[in-house]
Amino acid sequence: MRPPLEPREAERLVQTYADLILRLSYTYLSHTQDAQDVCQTVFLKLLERAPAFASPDHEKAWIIRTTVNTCKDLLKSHWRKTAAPMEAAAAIPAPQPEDGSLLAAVNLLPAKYRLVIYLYYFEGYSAQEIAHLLGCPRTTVSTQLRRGREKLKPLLESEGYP
Amino acid sequence: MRSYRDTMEDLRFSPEEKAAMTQALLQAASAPAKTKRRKKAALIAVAAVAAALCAACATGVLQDAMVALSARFGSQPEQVQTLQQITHPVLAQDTDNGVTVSVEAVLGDQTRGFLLCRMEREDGQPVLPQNEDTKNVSNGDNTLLFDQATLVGRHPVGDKGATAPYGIDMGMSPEFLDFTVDDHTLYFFFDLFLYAEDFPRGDVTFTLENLYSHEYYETCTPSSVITTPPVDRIIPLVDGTWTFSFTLDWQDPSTELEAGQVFHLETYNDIPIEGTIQSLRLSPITLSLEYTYTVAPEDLDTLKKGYDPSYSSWLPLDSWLRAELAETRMDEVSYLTLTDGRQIMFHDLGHSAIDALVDNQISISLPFQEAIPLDTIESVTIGDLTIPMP
Repeated sequence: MRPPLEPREAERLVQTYADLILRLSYTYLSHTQDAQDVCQTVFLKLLERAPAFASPDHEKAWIIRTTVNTCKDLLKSHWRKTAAPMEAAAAIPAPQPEDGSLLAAVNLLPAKYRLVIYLYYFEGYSAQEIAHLLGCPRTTVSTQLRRGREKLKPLLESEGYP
Repeated sequence: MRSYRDTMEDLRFSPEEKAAMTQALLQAASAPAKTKRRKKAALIAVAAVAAALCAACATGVLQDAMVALSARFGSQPEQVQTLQQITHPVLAQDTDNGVTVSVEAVLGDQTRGFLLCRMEREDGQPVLPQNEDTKNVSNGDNTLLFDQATLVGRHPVGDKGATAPYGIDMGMSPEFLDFTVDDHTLYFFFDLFLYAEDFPRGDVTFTLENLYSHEYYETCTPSSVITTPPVDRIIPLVDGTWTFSFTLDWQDPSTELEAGQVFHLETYNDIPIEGTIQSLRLSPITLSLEYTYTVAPEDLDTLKKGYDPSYSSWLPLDSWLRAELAETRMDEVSYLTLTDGRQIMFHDLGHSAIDALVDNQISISLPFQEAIPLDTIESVTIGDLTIPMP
């Protein structure tokens, strides 16, 4: 049974995590059309499962993992007929990366590489933490980071990343 | 030019959009029954399709297994029908410590074998202990593993029908179908992914021991400074040893496509390669590709300049080259074309496993996340080459 949701708690969830979910959705899906659906799905899962978190970072890690799984479910939906669009506001405009920018280069990488780059350089997680978040071996994450860095090296350096 | 960080930080919902999302969340949170009815209706629909298609479903046991397999591999009628065709009931069972584990069914092809298992308590209580330690255990939050998960049998050796003993350690965590901590039945799968010559067939012994959860997380600041020791603990869930003897065999449902053609790809280092198909097989759950490749000498020289000599003690140049040349953009430029015109990119089908142990030869196995009936596939495109289904 789902506990009742207080308005203050609903606002806290949206204010704290909606933008994170939007950025993760864009990173994984390469568009922002489904971001609001992904947000709603993630928050409802949080309410249904009602896990107890040891810390705000633990809660954030759960949100990230659930968002990635929700995006993967969306990509698997090629067997499902197109649903009627939600009666919601228009999609958030996706960033328009400039030619030669780091974002443009990141967007050329496969989804799994983009995600690891985003979690490492933007969110500041270590390879071990990313492996736990994504449920894959640490060696896989390290390899993806290394290959991503090799591909992006000059652009990363130009933006001050090691 | 805007930086990556600035661009991502600017990607945000407006205050008005967040207010609307908050209201929508409050509305959705106040209607839990509706969500549950939709989920149950979907499962009933799958069960009805499975029952209609399966002659062996009269026992009800295989019907439950088909519902679980459909939840994993797809629930469209054509997918359920395909799963029916390639699934073989096993129905091996063992009980220990008041818990019964059943190996319900197997399905597979030349390189992939999928075991569906079920766990229930004899007294009908929830499978997992109901206590403070386990209340947060859920699929995705925790890694559920067995102390032991081994499959022992015999696998073919040579081409004269000889066999030799062979064991597989399936200690990597099985995949659990979505559950809640108070569920009375847990379904889990072992996804065996091997080369054809490594697959044991015939009579096998399968042993499971002690189910537990591994909970691991660290807390840190955005600058990756670890602030507290990581939480790294084992939560015992179900103690017991379950041993099963059954026959592991199935007819390979794969189709072989025409080989010998040439395609062109680039690696992630922008090195052009020319590949020649040696073997391309499709089953409803896997794509298997073997190809040989050549690289222009000048491109190989360019690639070698990227080798760090400090690697030499643990990664010789030739091994490094094989690994680099195996990392191609295959998943981004290759796809299946379905008979209805849709295209599914390789990276949307699943996660490839790549073997580059032999010079100038690559083996790729791509397990599908969902079953794809072969009669819905028009062609396979690899790089600039399109091969029609036979």
